[in-house]
Amino acid sequence: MLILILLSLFNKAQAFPEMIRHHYVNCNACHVANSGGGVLNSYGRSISAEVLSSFGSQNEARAFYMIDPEKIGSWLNVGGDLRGLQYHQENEQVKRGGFIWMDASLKLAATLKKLTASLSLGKVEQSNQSLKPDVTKYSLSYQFTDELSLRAGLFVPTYGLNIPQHNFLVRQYLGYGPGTERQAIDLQWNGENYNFTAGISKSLASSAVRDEEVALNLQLLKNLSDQHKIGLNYWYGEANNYRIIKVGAQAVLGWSEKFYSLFEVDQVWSKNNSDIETQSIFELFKCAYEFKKGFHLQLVEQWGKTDVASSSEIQYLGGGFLWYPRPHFELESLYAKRRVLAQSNDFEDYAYLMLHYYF
Amino acid sequence: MKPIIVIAALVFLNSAHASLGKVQFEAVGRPSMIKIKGEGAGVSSNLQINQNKIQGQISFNLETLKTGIGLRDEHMKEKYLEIKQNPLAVLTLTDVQLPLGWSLQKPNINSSVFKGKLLLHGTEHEVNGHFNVDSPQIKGEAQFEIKLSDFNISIPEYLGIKVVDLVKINVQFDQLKIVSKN
Repeated sequence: MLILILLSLFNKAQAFPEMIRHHYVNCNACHVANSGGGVLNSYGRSISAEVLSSFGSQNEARAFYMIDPEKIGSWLNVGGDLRGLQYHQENEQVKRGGFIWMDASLKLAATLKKLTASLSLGKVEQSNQSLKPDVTKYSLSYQFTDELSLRAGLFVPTYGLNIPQHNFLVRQYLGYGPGTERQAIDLQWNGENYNFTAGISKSLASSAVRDEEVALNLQLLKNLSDQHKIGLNYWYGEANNYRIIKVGAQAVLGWSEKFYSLFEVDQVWSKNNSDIETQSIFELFKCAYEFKKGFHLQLVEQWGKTDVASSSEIQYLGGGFLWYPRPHFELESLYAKRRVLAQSNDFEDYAYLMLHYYF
Repeated sequence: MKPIIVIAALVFLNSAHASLGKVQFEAVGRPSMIKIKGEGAGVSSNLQINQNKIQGQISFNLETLKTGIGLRDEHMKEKYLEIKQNPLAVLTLTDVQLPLGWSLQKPNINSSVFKGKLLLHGTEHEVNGHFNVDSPQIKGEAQFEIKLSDFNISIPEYLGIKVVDLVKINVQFDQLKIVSKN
């Protein structure tokens, strides 16, 4: 079980909404996908050297260290990820740790005029840590204008903060971890001041979603002073055994080019076929400061209740660092005290060091 | 009646003196709507108040402009502004009407419309904007928009990001002194 949770720690899609502190108000500045995550575009690779990393050069940041975007053009973007995690968990019942591979994938996006096709190939089989050449995500999108686009395919629909840490309560407990890609279609507006997404989706029986769920998702975001983004989310889903409504608020706050915060809170109403309703609430607050270029110290606080009518409270407080030493490399560490009251009254120690190589 | 001639010089210490006055600009890069914000110091000016109008020149050393990304600065200065050939931007104010009741004792000006000419990239073009003066010894500010194409500046483009032609500019004068002569 712990392995499964750890495997869900980081999704394949990396996204850094906190880049708004550098006035990157929309994800597609650095990513091919308008919603962020997935393969980097050539500008994003350039920024990985110029803005994100402690050291490195433009040439070093190229895909596979050698693909020159000025020669190839912007029609083709390729890349991939290798991601592993060293973890440690310790409480009164258990003390364990180890290293696991979480991700090994190739990513490809090709653009022909206003049409972009993208896919992600390869995954690490969770049970035996073997590599499988599966297509885990794909999409076809059409860009009507700079702002307006339509996308269809297999992907995780837009809801909440687009962050890679999918073990955070606002991702994991809301059902947006890895393996929750759905057959989906969405319409996106990514403007200078507003972002809007409206989509419908259906999860596959084989996915990690609770059931075959048909859902509607809406997101409205507003840019403030080009360094802050606030927004609201709405989700309505129906499956054979339940109906679910999620409502959330989120904020990405770039206080300066060094100091930033992320915040999200979500309330969930779920009703099963017997008309038994469960209400849940989840919250995330992250605060970080970039002390040296590429090196960040971070503080993460989370709180949640899987059932507000019971004592199912989850508390989490941790600190750690993020370091982007050179283009292609990312390290993230977090040490936390956390408590799940439904399991124990005691806090446990929980720590990880994530190593990510993107090529 | 002796003509009322008030000549005031708003003296700005130039870039050789520390951090006095600045120029800020804001551009947008499409399609991702990147906000490109730049700032530089090194404003100097020679302005006069004559017959209820402010006239004169404000000049700015483009070398000091920074956007927070080294490569972008390099491209901006060398490839687009070509500052080796055109190191200065000069704003000539030709028609800043002082409000009724303006005096050196009450010098505040709030969003007065101005007309002027901007010399940039070796090309002079008319600009219109707003002009503020906050207090006698502290701040003046001019805000206006330009089109890069009006100044024969190529539209900046880099790895799929293309800058929009329209750029917002804000010129601030800190620690200015008003010197009057009768």
